[in-house]
Amino acid sequence: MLRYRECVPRDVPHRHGGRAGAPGTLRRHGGVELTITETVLVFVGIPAAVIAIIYGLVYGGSAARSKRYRPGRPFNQMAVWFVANKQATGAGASSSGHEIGAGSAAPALSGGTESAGTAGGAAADGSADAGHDSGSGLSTVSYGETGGASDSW
Amino acid sequence: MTAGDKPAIAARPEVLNGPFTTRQLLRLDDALRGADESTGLTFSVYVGELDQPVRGFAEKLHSQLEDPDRSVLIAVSPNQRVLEIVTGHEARRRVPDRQAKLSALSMAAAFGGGDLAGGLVAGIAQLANQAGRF
Repeated sequence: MLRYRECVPRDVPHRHGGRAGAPGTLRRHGGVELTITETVLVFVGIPAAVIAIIYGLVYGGSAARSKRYRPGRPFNQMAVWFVANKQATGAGASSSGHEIGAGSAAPALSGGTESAGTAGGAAADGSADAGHDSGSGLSTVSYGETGGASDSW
Repeated sequence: MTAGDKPAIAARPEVLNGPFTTRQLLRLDDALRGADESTGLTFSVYVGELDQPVRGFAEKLHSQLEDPDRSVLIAVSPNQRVLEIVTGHEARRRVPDRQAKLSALSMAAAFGGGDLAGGLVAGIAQLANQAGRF
């Protein structure tokens, strides 16, 4: 320490702008001198960059998952109805669960009934249930014929 | 789109407007196809609003299926937080109401956690497992 002091003459002007007072003393003690721009960059820029990165990580991904259902929040997605696609065994495997009704529930679904029936007629067991399908209108289903369960959350 | 207008392959963009991502749709498709193949019953999934009375509306949807007697419909209304499982006459013998209630419970637990696709896939698997091989 003493030796170092002796090496550096007191009256040498500092190279940054020639301020011979405090900065020179600081440097002699091992301190780092920063200009105002550097100070701002280090103490404002870096924290701001870190905050921006974390913000982006947190909220950037949620745009893609915005359709996620959260209980208690309104769920405004289109109604969908799936059955397995029996025709697609090998080649048509890319067509995911074939959609037989979409849009606002009641009108689209009632519109899709006949066409669903005809599409099914082309399938394997078309002849067996053809009479059954034509016979059962929507209104003739009585509640006793079906089973199942209900639940809520 | 309604069924029969076009082949199902043409329905790509419409399906993606629904509540599921492509990956979830693939999982759902896999589950439905597997359940149908292993049981011989027809499994169907409806996700959307259910009119009141909920049970009646679900049964109405069920009756629109190709072969209601051998069909199982899972109707879910995320907004109303209601879940209905409807089994047809024949399907009810394979999946007793008690077992249907059991899978309804597990599905409702998943839906309560916000996992629609996962709950459906698990529920379908459970129902199919119960129905067994034919």
